[in-house]
Amino acid sequence: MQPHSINSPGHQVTWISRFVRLILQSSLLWFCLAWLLIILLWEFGSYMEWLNPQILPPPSETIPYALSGNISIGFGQQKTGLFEATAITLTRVGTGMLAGLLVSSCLAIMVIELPLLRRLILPIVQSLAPIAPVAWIPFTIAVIGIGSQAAVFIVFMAVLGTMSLSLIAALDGIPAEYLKIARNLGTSRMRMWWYVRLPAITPGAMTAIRMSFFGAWMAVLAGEMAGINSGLGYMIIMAQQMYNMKLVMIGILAIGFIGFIIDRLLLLANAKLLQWIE
Amino acid sequence: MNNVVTHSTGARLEFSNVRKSFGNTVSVEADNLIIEPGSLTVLLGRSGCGKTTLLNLAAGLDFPDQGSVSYDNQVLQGPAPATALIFQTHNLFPWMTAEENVAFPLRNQGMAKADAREHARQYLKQVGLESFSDHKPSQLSGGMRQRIALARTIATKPRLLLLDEPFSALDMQTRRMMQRYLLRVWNDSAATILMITHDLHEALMLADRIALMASSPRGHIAEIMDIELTRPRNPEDPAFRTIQRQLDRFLEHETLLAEHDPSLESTDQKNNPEATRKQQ
Ligand SMILES: Nc1ncnc2c1ncn2[C@@H]1O[C@H](COP(=O)(O)OP(=O)(O)OP(=O)(O)O)[C@@H](O)[C@H]1O
Ligand SMILES: [Mg+2]
Repeated sequence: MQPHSINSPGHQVTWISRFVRLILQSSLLWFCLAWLLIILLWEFGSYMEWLNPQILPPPSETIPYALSGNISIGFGQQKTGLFEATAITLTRVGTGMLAGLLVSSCLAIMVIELPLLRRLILPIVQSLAPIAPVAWIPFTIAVIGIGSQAAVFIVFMAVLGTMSLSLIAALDGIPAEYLKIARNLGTSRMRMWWYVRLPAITPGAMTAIRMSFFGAWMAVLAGEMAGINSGLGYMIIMAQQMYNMKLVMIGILAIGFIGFIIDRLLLLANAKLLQWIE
Repeated sequence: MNNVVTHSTGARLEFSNVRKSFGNTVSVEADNLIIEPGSLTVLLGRSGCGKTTLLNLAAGLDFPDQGSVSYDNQVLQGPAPATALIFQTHNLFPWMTAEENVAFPLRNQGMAKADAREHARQYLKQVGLESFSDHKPSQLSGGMRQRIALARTIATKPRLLLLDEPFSALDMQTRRMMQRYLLRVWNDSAATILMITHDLHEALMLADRIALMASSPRGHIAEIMDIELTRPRNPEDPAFRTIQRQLDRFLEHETLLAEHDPSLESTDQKNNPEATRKQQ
């Protein structure tokens, strides 16, 4: 390449157009644009008095409140802040999903290793899977109560059926050639699971985790709104009862935003894992 | 491939009065098929006649409903010992590099990681692919993948090599090259080879014996032919051509029979290049 070409006008044009194209392709840009549009419409709606500012306070009030740093509701023992509530809810989702993943992995391993158990376990998880996650809430609150364990249990039940089914389906879907070859290469049971089955189902398992996250996220929030005594859902219900509509809105937006971020993170982890596997 | 360590002789396989059913009807039978140690036998027949089924039985991955399959005069009751399999596709684990794939069976045998890697690299060298050690299968061509599968096969020092249409997915030139590779492996290792192919030409280039399978009324071995052509084989050789014509006629006859048998799906013929050519 000739050295002076770097400064030639032609080069600059392509550099700028490439930069513009990169920006336009960036999903972050479109994410911000979409939200800007919603906020503007919302503000405009309040301004035109299409929306009752008592019920739906405009962004010009909500955003400064959100950024003020001391968002909390309730008094004394019941006092709960946005960040604390979010941390509690996320911990519950994480713990419940981890427990769900652990138990459904055990079930899936049993189904594959012991064909007799398959007939027993499969109908159970098949009937668990279609139960809507929120359906577990009344039962759980009645049996376990309104503490964190109850929330974790709801998440656990919400993901157990679908996760087990997805894992079993992924295991059944491993190309028979891999298993035949591994067996004939003298692979032990343990190594078969660790070096053949696990990597073979990783993409399917990651998708299953991502899908069940939505169910878990919704179930835990619904549970917190229905009686469990802390967390993001609880904060929203408290805010509503105390007529702090700004906080209700912030809570709803936080649900959407955090859900979106976690889904993106899972997607990213998925892509990284796929890269490692393929 | 001069430094392949030669070892004990190939395995002897014997099918006696084998019946294998899927559902209620017998799908495949093999009354009396003996595969001698160190021989290269080809199973040839149209799609659905039970070639893969017989191969699974030989591998000890599936078991007959009646009769038995013996490996060195011992009835198989689990995966056949010292046996390697190569399929048309999916031979290499896509989550492992070429080197890891070849090292995998060595690690299974308890070889230390560093040793296994060193050995794996040696075997890759034998198929001319040592510079691709760190590549994943998805970064390699179909022919390279099959060569790596062969390298892994050599690494396990098998006494029995079972091949299910291993070269069908390859182009003509690569296929010819792979056939030469296979013959070298066979020469150097003295392993017994049982191979499935649809390709008549391939069968004649490689086989000591060809077991012709027919599918009507059920899959069975219709004829066993000893191929006594000299090696290396030459397709221009008149004797080669005579046998080729003979086999061609057999397959044509089979196809005609199948056309008159309503129990066989017509779609089967589309999968069989020999059969389709004959219809035109
Ligand atoms: N797992 C199975 N379940 C039910 N039927 C089967 C099974 N495996 C094979 N069959 C049947 O047994 C017969 C022989 O099948 P096989 O796969 O051995 O044929 P093939 O000769 O290898 O065919 P192709 O050349 O198409 O690979 C077929 O009719 C097939 O439908
Ligand atoms: Mg087959």
